[in-house]
Amino acid sequence: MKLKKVKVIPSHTARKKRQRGLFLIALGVVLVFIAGGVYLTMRVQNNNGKNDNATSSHQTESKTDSSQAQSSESNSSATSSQNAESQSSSVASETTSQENQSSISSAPPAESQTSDGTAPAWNQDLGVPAIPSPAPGDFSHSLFIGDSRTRGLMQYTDLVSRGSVFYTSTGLNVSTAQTKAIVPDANGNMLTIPQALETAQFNKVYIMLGVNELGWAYSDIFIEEYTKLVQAVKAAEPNAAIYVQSIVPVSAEKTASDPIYNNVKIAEYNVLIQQMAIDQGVGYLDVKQSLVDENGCLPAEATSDGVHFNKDYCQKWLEYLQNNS
Amino acid sequence: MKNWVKRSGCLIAASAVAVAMLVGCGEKAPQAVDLDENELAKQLSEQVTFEDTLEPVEDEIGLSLYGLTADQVASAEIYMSTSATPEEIAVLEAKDSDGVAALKSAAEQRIEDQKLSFEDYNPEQMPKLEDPLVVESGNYVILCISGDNQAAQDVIDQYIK
Repeated sequence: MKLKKVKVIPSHTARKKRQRGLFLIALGVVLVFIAGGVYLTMRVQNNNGKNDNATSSHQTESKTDSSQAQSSESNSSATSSQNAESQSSSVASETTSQENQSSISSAPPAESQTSDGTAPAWNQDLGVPAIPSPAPGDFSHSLFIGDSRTRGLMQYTDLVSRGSVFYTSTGLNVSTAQTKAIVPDANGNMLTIPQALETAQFNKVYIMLGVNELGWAYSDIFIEEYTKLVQAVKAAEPNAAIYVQSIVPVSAEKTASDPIYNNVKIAEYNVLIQQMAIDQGVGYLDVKQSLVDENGCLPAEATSDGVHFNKDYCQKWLEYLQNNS
Repeated sequence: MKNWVKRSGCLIAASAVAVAMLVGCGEKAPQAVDLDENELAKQLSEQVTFEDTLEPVEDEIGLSLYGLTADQVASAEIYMSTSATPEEIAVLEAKDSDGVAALKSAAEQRIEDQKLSFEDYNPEQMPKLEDPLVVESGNYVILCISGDNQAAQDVIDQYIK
């Protein structure tokens, strides 16, 4: 019988092999830890960046800011049933559309002192000090209501930094100005202009609407709705000086080519607006006289689309308001 | 003994490779970028073809329309249109790399807001909002809404190379 050859391993050799194995395992574990540490260190360095002034985290704030003047901008979704004709598509076809709110408006701060240093009158309804009477050229407690043209005024002038609040929306008209929620409150809920006015306090209110209604079939419906809006503002702001502004004409090129956005219709509407202002006991500001050329048209240099004003002409608009209100 | 040395050497080499791979695959540090946002915005307004007139607005105005506050940005330069179109330029710098995400989110929300504004107001402008240029570089987020993304990209590339 052949005996199987069995390799006999001396005990000290086995021990050494065991030791080597353990050593290799330990070495492997240490190297893995080192690799992980290097990786994590690189990540931490990446996150810290190279900016010595790094803040701890960015702050996201509610879009309803309690500071003074910011503008609201949103559109409502439904087109008005009073728009009998489809809007021109070449520019500013002003059917209403809905938009998430991108900025805010808020009530202006209350004055802490009257000019003679006495304690201010108290606004019983709002439970805050009453704001002072309006002074010419002072826009610190002013509200601007309007469509995309008024949005341009907000963008291109310093009215916001001077304390003005804007309730504006691309496509806004005299009907949706009463019904569509375009003003965010402190909690981010959207309010209509009449709702927002319940908790806001202004000493001047400027309104410019009418461009988006040029396609309406019935001008009497336009002025009826405008009257309702003005009455709502008067009721909410009984101490404010309220001004309705004339509709500024479009450019010569625009009026010659567009059946809706033309200066004949604008002139008709302006007559109605002026009479409405008299009837309602509010001010009428003929803004257009500061912006039009000798032909009664918006100059070509003022606009890229014949309707909206560039920065220079928004500044002229502001200048007119400063000198006349 | 030689086998033992060989095995240890292989193990060390393998670990070194593993470390190198981990580092290489890790999150890359944002490139250090320091650009003049005023100059970039100005060059974009001049070199990109816009249908509308774009002009710079006050930070308070521009940031509010982006849902941002001054605390969230180190600097901002925003050019806005007359509202005839949604064309716009925004060069926003976060205070640190942590703040970049918020700026990018604000820019994307601004695009969505403009889509809602213009889809009925002036639908011909919608193509500009379908794929506007949003570039993130270092602590900067750059938005350019125009009809010429390539021209805008070429301008931006000169500043972030």
